[in-house]
Amino acid sequence: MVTTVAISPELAKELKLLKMEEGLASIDEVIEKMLIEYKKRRFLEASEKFRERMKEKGLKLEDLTK
Amino acid sequence: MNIVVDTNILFSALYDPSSDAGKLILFALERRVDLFAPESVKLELEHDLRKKLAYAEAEVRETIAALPVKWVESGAYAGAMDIAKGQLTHEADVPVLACALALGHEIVSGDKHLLSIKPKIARVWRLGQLIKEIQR
Repeated sequence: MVTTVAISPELAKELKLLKMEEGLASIDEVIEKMLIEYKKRRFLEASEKFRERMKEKGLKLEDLTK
Repeated sequence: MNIVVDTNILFSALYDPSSDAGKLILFALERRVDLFAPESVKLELEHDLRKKLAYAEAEVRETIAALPVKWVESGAYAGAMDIAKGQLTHEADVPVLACALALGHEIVSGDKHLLSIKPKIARVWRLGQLIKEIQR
């Protein structure tokens, strides 16, 4: 099953270009790959903050994983 | 592959994304594995982030949202709590086992209590083993 989303012609052009450059089969695949990369970045940012805060608080991993 | 995770796996992943726990999270983000956890795990994470690491509410929300985990409400595994209690002496692990039993999923943990569960009750993976299995 598919659905339709409204995007600007410029963005549609960029997505099509990216699809060709990356050798992907569909725009769906382009968006899926972008979402995965976005979520990975979000996780890595959360991880960085977590480590920074642990350092600030002088905590070790063992203090949280008893 | 559907796997129930505990709090320690998630904290370990946040602490070191290059660790096996971090790899598991990255595999979940790539949809190579589906991760589940009881809401008790979410509550424990939220509590520790607020109380031990002084996270603001928005930071707690952002961190939880960054974890590719499907949170399972307690009502969904309440019926399996008694069976789980009969298998474990460590109370904090009971919802993890109950969640796995209710959903029919396997568990990954480094916890000695969970790892001692008999295979006929539930399969409990060691993290290193599970990573190898996903990478096969």
